[in-house]
Amino acid sequence: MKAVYQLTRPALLWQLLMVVAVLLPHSLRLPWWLPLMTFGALGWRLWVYLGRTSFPHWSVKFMMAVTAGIGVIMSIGRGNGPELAVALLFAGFSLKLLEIYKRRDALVLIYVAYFLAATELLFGQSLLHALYVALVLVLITAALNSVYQSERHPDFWRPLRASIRLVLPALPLMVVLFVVVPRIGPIWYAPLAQGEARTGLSDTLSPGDVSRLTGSSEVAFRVQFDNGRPPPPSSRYWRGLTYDRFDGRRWEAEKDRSLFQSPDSESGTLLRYNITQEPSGQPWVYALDYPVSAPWPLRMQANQTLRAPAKIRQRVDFALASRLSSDSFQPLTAAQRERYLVLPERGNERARALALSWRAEDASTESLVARALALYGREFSYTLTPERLGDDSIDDFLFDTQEGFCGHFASSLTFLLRAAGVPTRIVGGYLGGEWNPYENYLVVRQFEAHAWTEVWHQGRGWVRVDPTAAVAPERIEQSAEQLLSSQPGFLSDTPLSPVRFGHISWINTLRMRTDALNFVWHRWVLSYQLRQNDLLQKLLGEVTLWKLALGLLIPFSLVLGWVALGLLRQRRPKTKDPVDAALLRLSGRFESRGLGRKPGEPVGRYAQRIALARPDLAPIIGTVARLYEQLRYAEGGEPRIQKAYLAAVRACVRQL
Amino acid sequence: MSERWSRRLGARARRWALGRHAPARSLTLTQKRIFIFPTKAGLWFLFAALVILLLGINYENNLVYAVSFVLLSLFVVSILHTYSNLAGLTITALSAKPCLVGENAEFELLLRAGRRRNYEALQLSWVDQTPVSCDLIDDSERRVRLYAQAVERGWWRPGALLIETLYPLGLLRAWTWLETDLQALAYPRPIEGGLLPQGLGSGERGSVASGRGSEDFAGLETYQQGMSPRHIAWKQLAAGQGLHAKQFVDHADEQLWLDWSFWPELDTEQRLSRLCYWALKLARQPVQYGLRLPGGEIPPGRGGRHRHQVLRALALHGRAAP
Repeated sequence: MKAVYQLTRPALLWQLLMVVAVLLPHSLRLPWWLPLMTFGALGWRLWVYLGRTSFPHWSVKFMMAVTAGIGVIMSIGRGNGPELAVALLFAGFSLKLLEIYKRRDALVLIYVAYFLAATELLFGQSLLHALYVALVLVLITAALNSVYQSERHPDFWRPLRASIRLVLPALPLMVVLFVVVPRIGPIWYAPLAQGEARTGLSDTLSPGDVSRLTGSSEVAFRVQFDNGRPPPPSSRYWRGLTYDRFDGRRWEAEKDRSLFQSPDSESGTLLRYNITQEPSGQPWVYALDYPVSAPWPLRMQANQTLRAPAKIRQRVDFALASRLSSDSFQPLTAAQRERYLVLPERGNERARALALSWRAEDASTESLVARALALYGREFSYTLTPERLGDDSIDDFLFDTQEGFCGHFASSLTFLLRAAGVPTRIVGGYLGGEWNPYENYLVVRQFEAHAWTEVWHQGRGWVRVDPTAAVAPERIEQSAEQLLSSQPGFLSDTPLSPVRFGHISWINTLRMRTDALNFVWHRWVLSYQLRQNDLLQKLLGEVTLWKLALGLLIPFSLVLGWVALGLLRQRRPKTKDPVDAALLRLSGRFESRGLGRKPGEPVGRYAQRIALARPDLAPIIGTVARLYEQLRYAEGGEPRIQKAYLAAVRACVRQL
Repeated sequence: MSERWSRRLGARARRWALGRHAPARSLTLTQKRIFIFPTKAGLWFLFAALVILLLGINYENNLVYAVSFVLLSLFVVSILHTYSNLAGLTITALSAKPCLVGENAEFELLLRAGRRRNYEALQLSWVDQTPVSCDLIDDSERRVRLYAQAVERGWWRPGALLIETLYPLGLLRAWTWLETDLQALAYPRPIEGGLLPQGLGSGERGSVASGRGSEDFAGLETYQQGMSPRHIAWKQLAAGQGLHAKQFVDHADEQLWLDWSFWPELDTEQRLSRLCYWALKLARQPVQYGLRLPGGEIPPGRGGRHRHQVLRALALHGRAAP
């Protein structure tokens, strides 16, 4: 039987509190039985502390460790590295609770707690997460302090105060380190499995798809423009991908391995901006019509869309540049021409016939486009909840239902033009964006998803044609939200979204401000490595090692100097005991006459010394000493004696 | 091997630290005296911060970087806290009680907070002795009793005083070595043996003397207020006979001499030890005893003060006065 190191009661409580605080946010991700096991271990440890039971035998602990280890591996699987590591650590962590004999065991628990608190941030990086983890760090530090606090004066709140006094000055130091310490890339590749099934555009488009997105007010991406101003609403076409192949019902985005050849000469003003894309689970990157170049690691495909090397699973930033209008273009190759003309062999015969009849009258691209748009403007209506379409979806839409939204219009227009022999493609992306005036950026949300067409004009290149504009021009000029808010399916997935309450001005302001805060948080904290160089150059001029060292040293010494000043000058509240306080006062008065009380001198002897030097004070100082001793060593009658004692001290001071 | 080395290194460091300052009765700790260095736990803490930093680097997670930086900063801030947990403390040597060689002498120190600050979880110890922990929390001064084993008779010093602290986070240890001017008197180690030549060790005594004393039980009397509670006759009280006090008397004793020349076969130290044994034995018996040493004699007497005088003479025999 090992000797049991009894933590003080506050130290034990702090350990338990710390474990709960660290466990809480992880518990939803862990296998359900692991938090239960931790709580079981907590209870057991508490029971041991109360003396109701003893620590488990080593064989029991061994069995528990083996079972927990196997259980974790079986329920998580080896594929998810970080989750598995965290769960295993947690299993060890909870079992270690049953093994706190010495201070060293408590330290192991506390250090692992620091690590586990940090791993929480791998799974969530919002401002709330960060605040919670900061709170947990304070609690863990309190637990660490409680282990070292005096056993003679155990106190529950003192460690918390000590911890706050340690962590608060550590924060500015942390900020300095955060700003200055250079970031390096990953040392080995360690993928993080993130939540799947993101909303957003997919690589197929059947006419009803886009309406699925109007149900969501989730953010797709945010954009900051270098000139600080957004382009006009009618130019806010964010291209993501093109759908080139039609199988009779659905349009598919074909993978195109060839890269975009930029034309030799380009004109038109360049618009530079920074796009912060939310995880979409898809590789495409949205850019304003038309992007001019692809920054590393993106590729610009032949259809002039940008593609990331892998699916986007975390929030990412790209610095892009686009031209809103351009008159230069590369001629279409024969293969590309073929690609943008191909249609299924049969089906939708009525639409084909219509296209051919138009072509027979006037084969020019301009007139074909104009006739199609005129048709839409004359007879069609815009709705988010159109009737279902049959097998010949294009025919049904064009001749029977005649109602729908962007997907329907874009796919039918593309079909008609291709049937008439004009290369055409559908573009998937977003149209619009809401300007946030607090941090000057544009937010584009899922319900702003849009589909439109691009038509090849001989001599002009690809020209954007948005058939929806012919039916509902307000969709382009106004925000999607204004247009859609009357539609039944709008925001059905997020009924409590603040976007819904945009007409209430304070909610709107609050929403904008919150989003702005999130955006700043992302830009300046979560993706700080992208801005570190610029910031340091702004702060230090040319960045040299010497300057970095100074940049670290000067703020450090300032903060530490401030802490040291506070520590060394810090005053404890005056002695609380009025009896001692009075004695101190008395001794202070005598000090100047060389009659101060010597360290450790008994009060009786001190009184004698004073009486010898000042016989006139002998009676009153004698009374003081007698009452003092009564107060200290006798029992009963304290309030009365204390009153008399204080009166005697006052009298003595007065006589002096 | 490594332990021996670290001990030797420690001893050297101590000698160096002590050599810088003269012993004093009272002194205040300042940065000239306080040393500070990370503990093993502190190095592990830094290791934990490093592991978290690696996590941050590998997942390019700036918040994890921040956690690592918080830990590093905590370490730096706690340097100041640990240091200030010693700085400004005033240590005053108060007194030392005599003891026998081989026993622990009690030393009393007074700790006083500088500028009314809190000091928590201080450890005080003499070299290689068990430490005593102490705090100054809401308390401007505190007496501390420390014990050290006496090795040799005569006046002796307990060696250097180590004051150390791990507070607040155990990451660093701040310590200081002080040489106090406290010295304790060690009486010779009593060694049983021999007989007093007159054969009086067994204690024949004279007639019962007058007066109330505290030595021998003489009878019971009714307990009255003010009598020492130690003299209450619990047995009688338990038997329901009422509250009585035991009455003690001192005897008017015989006079005995402890003489240096009693045991000529022993060497000096052994002789002192035997004399010490007999002095202690006689002090517990109702006799008056005196001491004759080559350098002088102490006339027979009784009581604590006399006993101390006798033992002190034995302790200091042949030793120069301090």
